[in-house]
Amino acid sequence: MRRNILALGERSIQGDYGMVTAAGELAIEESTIKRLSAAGSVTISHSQIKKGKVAGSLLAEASDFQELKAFGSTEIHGICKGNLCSFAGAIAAELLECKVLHNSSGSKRSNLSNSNEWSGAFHAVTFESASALTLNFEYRFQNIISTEALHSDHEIECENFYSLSQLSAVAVNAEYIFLLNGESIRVDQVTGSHVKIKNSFRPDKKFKQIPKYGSYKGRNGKKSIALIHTIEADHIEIESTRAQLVCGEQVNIGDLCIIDRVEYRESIQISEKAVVNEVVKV
Amino acid sequence: MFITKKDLLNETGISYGQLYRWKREGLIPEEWFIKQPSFTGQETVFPRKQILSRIKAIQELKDKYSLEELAKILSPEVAERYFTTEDLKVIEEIKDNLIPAFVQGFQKSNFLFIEVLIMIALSEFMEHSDMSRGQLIEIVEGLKGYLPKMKSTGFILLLFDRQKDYYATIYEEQAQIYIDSRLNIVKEIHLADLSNKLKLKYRNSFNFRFDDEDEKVSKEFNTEGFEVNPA
Repeated sequence: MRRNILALGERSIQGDYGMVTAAGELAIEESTIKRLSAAGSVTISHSQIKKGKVAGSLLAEASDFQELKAFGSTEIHGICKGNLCSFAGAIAAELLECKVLHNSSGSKRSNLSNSNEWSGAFHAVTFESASALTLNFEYRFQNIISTEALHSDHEIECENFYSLSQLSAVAVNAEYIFLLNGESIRVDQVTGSHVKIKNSFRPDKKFKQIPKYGSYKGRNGKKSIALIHTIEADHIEIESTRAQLVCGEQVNIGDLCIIDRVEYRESIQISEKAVVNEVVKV
Repeated sequence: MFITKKDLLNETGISYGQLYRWKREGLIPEEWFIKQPSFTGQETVFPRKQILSRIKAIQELKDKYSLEELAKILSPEVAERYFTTEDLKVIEEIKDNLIPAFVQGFQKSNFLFIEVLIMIALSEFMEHSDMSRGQLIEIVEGLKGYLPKMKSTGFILLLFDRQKDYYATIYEEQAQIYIDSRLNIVKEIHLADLSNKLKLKYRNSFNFRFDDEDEKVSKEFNTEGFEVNPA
């Protein structure tokens, strides 16, 4: 029979538990826990946690989490796996594999100067960044959804990339790229199959099918211009974008775009409210 | 030597989406996307021979393998295994009667993957030239010290002769090389191409890195020989 535990102070537990509530220093080893709520310093090794919430410092080693929410600093040793993992604070991971990985802001709004520090290696079907973040760690994400400032000194690569806020990166290379013209977008190169840069975002069927933690409603961007050097994709649909070069199969240049040169292979549409210096069919 | 992105797409019929998908999947090495100044600010060019050959390979194989499998097959990383003289006998492209010469040249009987590629290249060359067994051993002796340092297959083996005396050099694919014009280049062999074909053809025979996957492929690629590019 599963036991429930209320642990205060320094405790070590091992076994099969229903609910564990703890404050202080808790060490969990080779355990299966249905529900864990802990504040303080928590160490979990070789265990399975169905639903965990930890505030303080968490050290997890070779453990599985159905759902984990951690506030504070987290260290992952070995390989840990999770279905949904959400972190508010610094995290260092040898390897964390999740279905949905969430970078949480807690309650206050963040920016790149006070962003969460992530380091190590992370694999996820979907990575949601709801707090300012610099992508300077090793990652393999199928989908990236960013609703706060995102920065990368390298090329950002994934299958589906949604940026609904500030973005600065050397390059983005994804099958599908959606950039909401928000506070500031500065990217040297945007490449993929579908590239959309729009002034408003409405979750479409494709977006709704992506596994995720947050709920997303339609939102409008701010009146700013995305600054991009080169866009290369099969299907391009852009608004309010300043670019030197746009190359695509089917290209749609919308309102308030200023483009030096457009190269298209199949079709082109240019808004009357756009300025395009040169159009070439290749 | 280089091909622009526009020309590449026109020549191969692939789209931007495919090109960048294959880059993401690791099928096309990032270092082949070479940025150079142009009137639009910057343009991307590729090493012509390598990229055309790679895209042809991807187009031929993409329906038979997943992109992930293909990435492993086309990976420039050197396969981490040693080959015994018994293993060499399985590789048809290395003539059985030359194996003792390779053993003598390398002065060992367990070989690195990169050394096997050199053996294949030299075996093929010997078939179509008058290079003697003694010259083969001399070339192997001349190269053997450098091969263990090569951690990828992104190299080109160049064979040249001077009055029927054969020499070899190995250089990185992206490197410029200037050979004394008195020497006659007789073969240029891209080791990455040999590696791809070897991995494909013998994936069931040897424990290459991708061999832990299901063994659904048999000898469908066995019909093609290991041709080397004429200089």
